[in-house]
Amino acid sequence: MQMEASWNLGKLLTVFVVVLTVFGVLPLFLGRFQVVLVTEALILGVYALSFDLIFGYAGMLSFGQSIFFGVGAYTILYSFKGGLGLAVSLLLAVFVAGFFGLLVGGAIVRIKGAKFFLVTLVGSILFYLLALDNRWLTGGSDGMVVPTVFPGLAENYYLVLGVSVTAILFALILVRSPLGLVLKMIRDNERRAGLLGYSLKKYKVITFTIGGGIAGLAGGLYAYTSGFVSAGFFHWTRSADAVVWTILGGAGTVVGPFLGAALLTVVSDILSAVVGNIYPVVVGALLVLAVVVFPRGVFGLLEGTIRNWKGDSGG
Amino acid sequence: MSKLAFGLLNGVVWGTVLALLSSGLNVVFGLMGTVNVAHGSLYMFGAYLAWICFSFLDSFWLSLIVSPLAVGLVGVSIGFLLKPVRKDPILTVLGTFGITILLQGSTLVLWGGTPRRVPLPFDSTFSLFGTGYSFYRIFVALVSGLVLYCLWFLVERTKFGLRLRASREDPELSSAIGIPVFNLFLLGFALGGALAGLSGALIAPLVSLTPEMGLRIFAIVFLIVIIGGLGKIWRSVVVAIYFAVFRGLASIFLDSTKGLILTFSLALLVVLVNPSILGRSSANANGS
Amino acid sequence: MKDSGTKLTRRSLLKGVMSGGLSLLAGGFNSFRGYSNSPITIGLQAELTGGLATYGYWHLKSARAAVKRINAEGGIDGRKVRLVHEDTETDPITGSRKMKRLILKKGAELVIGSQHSGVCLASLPVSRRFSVPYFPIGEATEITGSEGHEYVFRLNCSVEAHAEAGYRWIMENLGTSWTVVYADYAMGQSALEEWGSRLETRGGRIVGKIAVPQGTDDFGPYLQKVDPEQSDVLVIILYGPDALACLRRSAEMGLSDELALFGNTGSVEALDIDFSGAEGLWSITNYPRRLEGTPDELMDVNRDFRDMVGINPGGRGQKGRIVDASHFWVPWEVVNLLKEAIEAVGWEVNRDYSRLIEYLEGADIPGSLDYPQGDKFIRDVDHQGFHSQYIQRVDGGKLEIETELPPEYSEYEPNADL
Repeated sequence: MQMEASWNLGKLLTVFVVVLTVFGVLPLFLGRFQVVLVTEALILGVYALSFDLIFGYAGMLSFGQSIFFGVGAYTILYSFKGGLGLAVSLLLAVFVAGFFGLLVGGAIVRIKGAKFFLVTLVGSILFYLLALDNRWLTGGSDGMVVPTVFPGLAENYYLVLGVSVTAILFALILVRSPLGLVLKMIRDNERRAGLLGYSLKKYKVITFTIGGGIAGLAGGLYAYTSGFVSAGFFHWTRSADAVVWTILGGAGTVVGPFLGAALLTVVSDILSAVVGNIYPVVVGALLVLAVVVFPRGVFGLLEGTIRNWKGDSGG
Repeated sequence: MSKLAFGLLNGVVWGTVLALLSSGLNVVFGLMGTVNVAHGSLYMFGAYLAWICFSFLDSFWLSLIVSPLAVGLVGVSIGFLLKPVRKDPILTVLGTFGITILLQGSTLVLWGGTPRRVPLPFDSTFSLFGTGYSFYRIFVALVSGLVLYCLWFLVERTKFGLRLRASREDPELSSAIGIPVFNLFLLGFALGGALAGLSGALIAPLVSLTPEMGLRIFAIVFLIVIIGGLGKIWRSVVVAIYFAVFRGLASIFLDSTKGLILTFSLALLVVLVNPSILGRSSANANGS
Repeated sequence: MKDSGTKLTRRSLLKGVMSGGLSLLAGGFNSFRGYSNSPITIGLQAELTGGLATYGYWHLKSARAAVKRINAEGGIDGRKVRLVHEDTETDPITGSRKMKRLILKKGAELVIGSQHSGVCLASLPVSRRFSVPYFPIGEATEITGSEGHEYVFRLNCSVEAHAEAGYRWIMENLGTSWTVVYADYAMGQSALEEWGSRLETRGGRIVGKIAVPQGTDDFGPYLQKVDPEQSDVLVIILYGPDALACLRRSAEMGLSDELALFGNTGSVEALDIDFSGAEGLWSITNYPRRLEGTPDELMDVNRDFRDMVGINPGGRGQKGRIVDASHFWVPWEVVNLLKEAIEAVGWEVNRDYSRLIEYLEGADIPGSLDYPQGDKFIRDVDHQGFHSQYIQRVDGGKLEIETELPPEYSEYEPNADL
């Protein structure tokens, strides 16, 4: 993060353009399924980013992101059923999920620490149960098929890339805005921020709302590109996924969540094909290893390596 | 009326069992400030060991010794593994979550996804308000109560418990005055694991064993510990019984998933609105 | 922001290049397939991990055994068969991605589907998008109903087919006043509707509906609601661990002495229920778990079939794993059916399966080693298969077949016209 701050705008822009170019031409070098995989990794990256804003920047360990992911997905379903177009539907997903974020955030903002973890965990369990119980609305555990023409793989990819870039830009601006700075202060020293007169609750609720909206966007994209929704979108393990990706990728950074989501999507895809039903064992072991060996995430690891390398070449 | 009475009694029996299960989490979490997400999977592992004792060694009773010992060992290993990050509550959540996936996956690989069955160790039942009720359930409740009493005695009345609590309250001061904090950390994990293993073995004849059974029960156990208050064993027992009775009654008079939704909503409300309903000290939960 | 203009042009340019590249790729792929001895790739979506891992374990064995046998006998029309599989982790989100992986990465030209109805429903749009014939095993009625399409064929009975065959038998043999204990999620809820509506139009009565959430450990409070004075039968619509727990608790509570117990397919499937505590439980199945329950004329072929898959006459494999008797035969039969169909109409390129689909629509399939489950037919309007079902009972700690219900017995009104 310090490094991020020390980078000037010009450098940032250069990196941005380079990365965008790489992603722009990427499908030319990939097989069809790899395009699907990268598309999915990007969507999940957006989803992980929504968690990162809440956790990495505002310090709230939420296991409730699946609530907003699910709400966004079902918003797309009903918006399509109502005959609305894709752009309007995605916007609607953001607003509806953001509204849920506002409600949930408002209700739990006072809670802290392990209790916050519990409350958000039970919250996503409740939403899952509600989705199971109201099959007329959600299709329950079997789910529903989204009424849309299944789009082409390349169209999907560029749509998702465009949305991801927008989300990243939005997040970059957000964390450098006065709001982002206050959030960091709250995360690093809540008491001091309070003494300085910031209304902690207000800022936390705002973050939760924004995080909810972005998770809803990811859920909506997911429903659109895969063509179905189910109660499972709300399941708390879906929340845990966002947590794991973000922390493995590097919390408190904008790139980290994408890195984590991409890494795990690709690794799990390769692994589950190679090792069969031993796959969960390997993933579990990797997670434990990662937590113990590089607790600051892959991005932290990269950052450290670059810094060392710079230090070496400078000296 | 007899439905109500059945619901109450059955709830008390299940509540005691849940209390025993949650006590293990409480020891690790409440006393050491570490959320062991793998607690549910340790319980699952204990239950599978009971199934192994029954099917391959032909003695279910053996598992009441084997399970706590073996699962306690697993607990110690987790403690060792997570030693580098033990001061970071979020990394321990992640690490133990990884262990959950690992344990669940290993169970699937070793023993398959077929739900396993351990027969009731006593054949005899008695009539409880018109329906049969196994004596084994009563036995499990009694044993759970006894173990909980011993645990309370250990934590509240012995030097070991004092050290455990001291190292939780102030790890730096404790190590400064010569209490080996890390060893206590390991011991806490061993104790938590042993309790999970014992609960698993005791409950095994009452449920169907699947690799997912641990993950499924974790949220409930976690809820009980938080509402009861960290480190407070008796209060957890009360909450566990409340929970089980309420869930039972809700499913008798309401309809299933709706009953579960109501139970979870109320529990959530208790946590959200006023944690001090059950006593001041649960406010400690705000820490960590 | 200032480079947004160039970005746009670059993007549209890329789009053009992309689709060109893709069609080039696809063209190469197809011409490769045009060679007469190129293998035919069949995909299998299996639940190897997660809640239905028992099922996937057997489905993989079944499909492998079928492919091994075909290849040993010279393949399909002289082409080798290549089986590729993916683990859905019993999760629709993963399952849908794995469906794409099978088709796009592993080159599956035909896919045998998952046991999980949610995974099947999530895979239907993928099958339609890439025009790949799909043979799901999941039992949700919508799969060959409201959500079905021309590429989807299901050989095994749906929830509705079980209800259609089962309810009459229960009414005639066990009683007309039912209490139903059912799983409170899609599978159980839809089964309750199918069974219940049929019972009530025929003058029967549902005395009690007891919904049970997934993962219930303590069945006491639920089963306590059963009133044995009012009802003749306790119908159990649960699956997996929940069904086992329910059955054990009803034995403990003495319910099995007071009224008849009847389980749907899922409530006995792949479960260790042939023990004395389950004595007297009736249930419906697509296929006998124990070899001795097989009809005489199919006994020999089934002995061979079980040998090749690795299942003993008692219905168990290695480490005592219990087979999912109602479903494990489906992958085997689908592979054989594909061989039959492809050899009859010739192998088609460019993903044009119109003649294959035409062949399968309304197909009459006689029982044999290729189709060890027995005679069946695929209805042309909705691509749903119908076959014999069996009523079985736990007797002396064993699952014994009591009666066979012929294929016509389960035929219900189609819900779709493709």
